[in-house]
Amino acid sequence: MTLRSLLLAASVICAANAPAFAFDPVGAPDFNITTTIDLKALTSADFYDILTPLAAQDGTVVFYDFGESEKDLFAEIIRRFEAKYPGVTIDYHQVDGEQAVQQLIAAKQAGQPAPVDLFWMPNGQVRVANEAGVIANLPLNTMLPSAPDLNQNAATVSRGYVHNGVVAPFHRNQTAIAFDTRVVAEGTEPKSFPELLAYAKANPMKVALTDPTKGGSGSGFLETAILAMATKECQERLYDYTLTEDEAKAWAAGPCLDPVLAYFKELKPVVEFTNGNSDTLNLFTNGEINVGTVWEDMVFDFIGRGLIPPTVKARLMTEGEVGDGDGAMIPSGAVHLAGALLFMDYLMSDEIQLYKLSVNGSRSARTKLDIAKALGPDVVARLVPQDQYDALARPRIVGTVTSAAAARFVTEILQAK
Amino acid sequence: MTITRTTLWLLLLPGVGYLVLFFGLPLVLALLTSLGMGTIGTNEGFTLRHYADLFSDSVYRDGIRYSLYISVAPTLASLAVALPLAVVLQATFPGKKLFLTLYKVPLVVPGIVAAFIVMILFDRGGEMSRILKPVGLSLPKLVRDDWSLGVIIALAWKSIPFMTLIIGGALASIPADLAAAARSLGANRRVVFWQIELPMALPGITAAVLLVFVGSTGAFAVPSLLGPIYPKPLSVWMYEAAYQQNDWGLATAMGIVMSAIACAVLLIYYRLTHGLNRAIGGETR
Repeated sequence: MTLRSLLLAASVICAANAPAFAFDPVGAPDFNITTTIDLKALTSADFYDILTPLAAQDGTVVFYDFGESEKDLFAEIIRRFEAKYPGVTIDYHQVDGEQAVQQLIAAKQAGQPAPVDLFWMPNGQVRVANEAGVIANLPLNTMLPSAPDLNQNAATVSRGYVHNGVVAPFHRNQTAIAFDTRVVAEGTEPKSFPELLAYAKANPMKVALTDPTKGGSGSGFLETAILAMATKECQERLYDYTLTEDEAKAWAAGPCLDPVLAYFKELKPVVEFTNGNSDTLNLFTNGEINVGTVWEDMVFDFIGRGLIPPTVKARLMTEGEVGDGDGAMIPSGAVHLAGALLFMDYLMSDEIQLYKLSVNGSRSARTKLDIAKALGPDVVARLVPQDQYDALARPRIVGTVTSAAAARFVTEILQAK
Repeated sequence: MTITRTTLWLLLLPGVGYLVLFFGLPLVLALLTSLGMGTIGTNEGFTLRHYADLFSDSVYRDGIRYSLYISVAPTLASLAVALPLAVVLQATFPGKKLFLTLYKVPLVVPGIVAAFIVMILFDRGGEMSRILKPVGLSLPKLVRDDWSLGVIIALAWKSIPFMTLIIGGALASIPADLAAAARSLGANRRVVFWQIELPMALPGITAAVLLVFVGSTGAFAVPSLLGPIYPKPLSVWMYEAAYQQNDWGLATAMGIVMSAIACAVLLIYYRLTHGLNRAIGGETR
């Protein structure tokens, strides 16, 4: 049995039993957050009874949103939350996620309280933030009464880094291949890696790949290629979360990555590498590309806002494509813990998870959520077809392997003339 | 009236104190961090590891070369436009007042906006392509291109008015009598420019070139949006080291190297312009 399966099974058992037991801190004997709440005595059963009056007493919860286009979404969520919990106000700030993590680290190093109580943060920063000790070691994967059915891989792993549940998987997203049906009729689009290569060769510069070294959909595409092309033996390490950085570098330096790099060598002269996800979508808008690497939720959002034509559709490669998401956490220096926990619980509730899906096309890590409720025809048209999502969505591989593979991609593909 | 040493120090204190506090101290802290002894990031004790990492990695070496390229090329492009423009603006012509206002617009436009302007105009399928397409013309690749032409256009567009202002100021400060005297002694307009005005304006030109060069060295938004995905300038690697890897030692080592390059270029440029000044017969002011 792989470590991943063990982790999953253990977490599911914990989740199933959560209401009966109090919560234990993650990875340490004690919670690393200073609070008057007896966290070890808190259970799902008395979660609201204990926290609601304390949150009202505190009054405010400072909330950081690192996203670039979720301001309206959060305005509505906050309006609903404040109506549900009178006396609790959310102090909303849109921030740069990476800078906010550094702000939290600086505050901790200076012995100051955190400037924020709840932070929806970029997944690529979870490792840095957790290793710096700025994330409260709360078992959010099991302690939120509104979310007893979390996919435990999504709830304990972020961008291939195991955090064991201290970050709640508020937002899920999926890498995909988009195609413009004005040029590529539905059903004739490239569906697999060989088909994509053949299409790119037949239509030079009409396929855009987002920079695989930047962590966006291009990085997801690189991971997907690794999953598709590495041998079975090589793939065994791709979800081994015990892999050290040196082992990951050795993996990437070895023959496992050779077929992937050979594929990119063929692809490079006939595709356009772009500087980011929006850059790729912009080329769709300009009518300059027919196929490109994307995030499903960005396609959903951009079509909804009229930034790309509705003729652009997203699909998953038949080999399977990786997805991930950005989670929310409570900093270890947070001062309004009760309100932060209530707001976190609300973010993961049926109501908000479905609302978010219908507005932003962001999938949920809630496994028993009735998604069909949120899927109106206009929503369906902008998402990857549900059958493809169910069959072909894959979790992201270990982050250290991705970084090492990206480094080899730079030296062997980008530096090569 | 004699000024005592104490009074002199007190008079110098605001300026020198400001420099020490806001330039010297951060620079020293950055240097210490790059040597493993900083206050940000991990304090690992004295090490040259970050510099070794920087110079031994071909990706970062390419980054240094690329940073130099996107500093030098826009500076030269700006100079090629700003110098004649500054000369033209010394004269009087109809609509000069309006032109003097309009040409300064890029000064107040942030770099990232300049990058978006270039992207909207010159990217594949952008506005210029759409205008030229009906007449059967097309643009070369200007965004994400190997020569970073879009980056050069955006940075030069931002720098031209700044450079023109400084050079124009230097030209305007040359007494008109000198040119008149030279003309009365038989020098034509070209000789007056090359042998009198240019040498006398050289300190202003030097200052403008250096300021634009240094500004371009640290450009971040423009190359991130308009440059190729590889190489990336050192400023972008610096951001990634600091904010994505939390490796402040490496990030500050990159900052120190960029500062050292800027200082080295400054010294070389002073030396060159000093020699040039002497060669064309002027005295260094």
